[in-house]
Amino acid sequence: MPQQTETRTVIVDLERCMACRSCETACAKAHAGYEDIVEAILADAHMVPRVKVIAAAGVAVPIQCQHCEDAPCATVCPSGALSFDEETGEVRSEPARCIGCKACVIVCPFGAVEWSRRTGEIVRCDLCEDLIEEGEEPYCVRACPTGARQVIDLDALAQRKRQEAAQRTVLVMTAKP
Amino acid sequence: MRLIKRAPREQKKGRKVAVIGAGPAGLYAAGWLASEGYTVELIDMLPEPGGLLACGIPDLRMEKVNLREAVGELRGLGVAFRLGTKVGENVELEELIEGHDATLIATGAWQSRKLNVDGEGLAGVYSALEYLVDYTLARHSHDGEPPALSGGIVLVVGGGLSAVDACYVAREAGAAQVVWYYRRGEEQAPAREAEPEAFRLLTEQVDFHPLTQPVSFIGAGGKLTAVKAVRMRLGSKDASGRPRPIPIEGSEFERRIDYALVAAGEIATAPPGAVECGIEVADETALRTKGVVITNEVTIPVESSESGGPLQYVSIPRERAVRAKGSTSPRAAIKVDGRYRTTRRGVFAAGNVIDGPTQAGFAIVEGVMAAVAIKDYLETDQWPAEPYGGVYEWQELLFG
Ligand SMILES: Cc1cc2nc3c(=O)[nH]c(=O)nc-3n(C[C@H](O)[C@H](O)[C@H](O)COP(=O)(O)OP(=O)(O)OC[C@H]3O[C@@H](n4cnc5c(N)ncnc54)[C@H](O)[C@@H]3O)c2cc1C
Repeated sequence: MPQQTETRTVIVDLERCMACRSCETACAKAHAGYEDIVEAILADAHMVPRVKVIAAAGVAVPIQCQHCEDAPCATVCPSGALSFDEETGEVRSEPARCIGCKACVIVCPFGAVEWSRRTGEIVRCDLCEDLIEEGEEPYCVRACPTGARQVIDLDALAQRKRQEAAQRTVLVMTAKP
Repeated sequence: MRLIKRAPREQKKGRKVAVIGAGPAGLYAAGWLASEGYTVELIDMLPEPGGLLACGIPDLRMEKVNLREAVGELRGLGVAFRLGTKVGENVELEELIEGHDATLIATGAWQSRKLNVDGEGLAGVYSALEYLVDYTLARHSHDGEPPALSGGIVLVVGGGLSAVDACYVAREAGAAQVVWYYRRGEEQAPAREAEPEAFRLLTEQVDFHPLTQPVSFIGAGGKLTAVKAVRMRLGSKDASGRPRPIPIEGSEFERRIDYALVAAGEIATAPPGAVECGIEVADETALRTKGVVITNEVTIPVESSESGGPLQYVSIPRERAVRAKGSTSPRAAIKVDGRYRTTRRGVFAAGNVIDGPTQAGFAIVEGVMAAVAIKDYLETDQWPAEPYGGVYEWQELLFG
C-alpha cells in the first residue's frame, strides 16, 4: 500500500453553494497571474477557470478534477503531462509536457480536463498545490463568500466522522423507547 | 501513461491475437487484451515500438521515457514484439489472420502526399514524415543515418503540424536557414488553427512565406539546388471550406535551397494485401464527400459481471466525440463499423488507418475500444453480417 502523505483536499458543501461563480472567476484570474479581473480582461489575459459551476436539476454543482483513483486521464496520457502520484493519490499535471493529443479530454468522466488552443496545453485543477503546501487556501476557497468550499484534511475529516458516528450510536443505544 | 490494467489476469485464456502496428492504437489495444489474458503478438516494421508517437513527434517536443516504461510493462506481461517486420513484405497478412483467433490492424497513415511537381525525385527532396522518422530513429541509436541538413538552406513546405515539426527539427539538425512556404494565407494554416501562439513564435524564427507554392525543384547532377515557386492569391472557397489558392501569373521566382522537406499531408495506409484478404478499403472520393462520421448515439460496453462475462451494450446520447475529427481524404482508409470490425471476419482496425491523420488521443481511445470489441467477439463468437452502428464511448471501467 502506498503511504498517504498528503491528505488535504477541497470539498464543497452543496447546500451552501449559491452558484455565484466567484470560485470560477478567482481561479481564472489567479492562474492567468492577475489579482484584478478588470486588469486581466484589459490585458487580454488567458483566463480559463479550472472549476466550473454547472446547473443540474435545479442545483448548482461545482465540477472540477476529482483526482480519481486509477485516473483514466493519467492512464491514457502518452507524454507525462498527466500522471498519477502513487504517494499522494493525486493526479499531477505538467502542462508544459502536453502534446495536445486530447485523449484525457475524451476519457475524463467529469469533463474536468480542457485543452487550451491558445497555449496548446491542458487546463485542469491542480488543487493549487503550492498554496496548500504552504498551508494557504486555494484561490477558489478564498473567494467563496458562503464558505461552501473548504480545504479539509481527509484524516481529520474521517476522525470527525468517526466521532459523529460514535455519538449517534451512543444516542441510539441510550435512547428511551 | 499505462498500457496495462492495474490488476491484469495472470491466467492465459489460450486465444491468440495479432496486433499489426505498434503505434498508440496498437499498443493500447495490446495492453488491454493482454491484461484480459489473451496471448498478444505485436508486429511492426520499425525497430522501435510507439509508432509516430515514438518516432514522428520530435524528442524536443516530447520525452519518450514514459512510453518506454509503459512498453516495458507490456513486455513484462508477456506481449511478444516482432519488430523490423513489415506485413506484406516480411510476412503475409493472410498468414497472420489465419494464425490468430483475431487480428487488429493499426498501421496508421504513413503515405505522404506529393506536390506532384517536377524535380520531386531529386536527392535532397524528402517527405517531412520520412525525414522526421529517420532523424528520430537515428537519435535513438538505430541503424541508418538521416541526411545531414547542417549548414544548408532548408525549405519546408506545408501548413500543418508536421510542417511545424519539420521546421523545429531542421533547426535542431543545424540548418543554416529555414525557409517555409505555405500555399494559402496564414489565417488558413491548420497549424495556426491548432496552436496559434506556437505558430506565431515559429513564424518569427524562420523565413515564413504564406501564399507561396513550389512549382518545380531544380537540380544539378541529380542533386537539389533551387526551388522555383509562385505567389498565390485567395479565391472562392474550395471543397475543404477554405479559400482556394490561385497562382498569380508572372509571379514565379527562383530561390537557392539545399534541401526540401515536403509536409503535404499523410494518407492512411492499410498493409499491402488487405484487399486480397477481403478487407474493404474506402476510396478517397467516397470518404471526402461523406466527411466526418459522427453519430448521435454511442454504445458503451458494460461488463456484466466481475468474472468478465460477455459485455453488454448500452446506448447513450453522444456527448463527447470520440472521432470528432473525421478523415478528409484517407485514400486507403480501412472501412470499419461501430465496433471497429472490418469486412473480414475476425479482423478489426483502429487508429489513423481508419481515420487518416488525427491527433494521437483518438488513436489511443480507438485502440482500447477495438480491444473491447475483440474480446466480445472472441467470447461470443458472433460476427453478424449487419454492421454495428455508433461507436463506443470510453468508459472508465475499461481500465479498472
Ligand atoms: C510529425 C508529427 C507530429 C505529430 N505531433 C503530434 C502531437 O503533437 N500530438 C498528437 O496528439 N499527435 C501528433 N501526431 C499524430 C500522432 O502521432 C498520431 O495520431 C498517432 O501516432 C496515430 O496512432 P496510430 O497507432 O493510429 O498510428 P501510428 O502511430 O502511425 O503507428 C502505426 C504503426 O504501424 C506500423 N506499420 C505501418 N504499416 C505497417 C506494415 N505494413 N507492417 C508492419 N508495421 C506497419 C508503423 O511502423 C507504426 O509503428 C503527430 C504526427 C506526426 C507525423
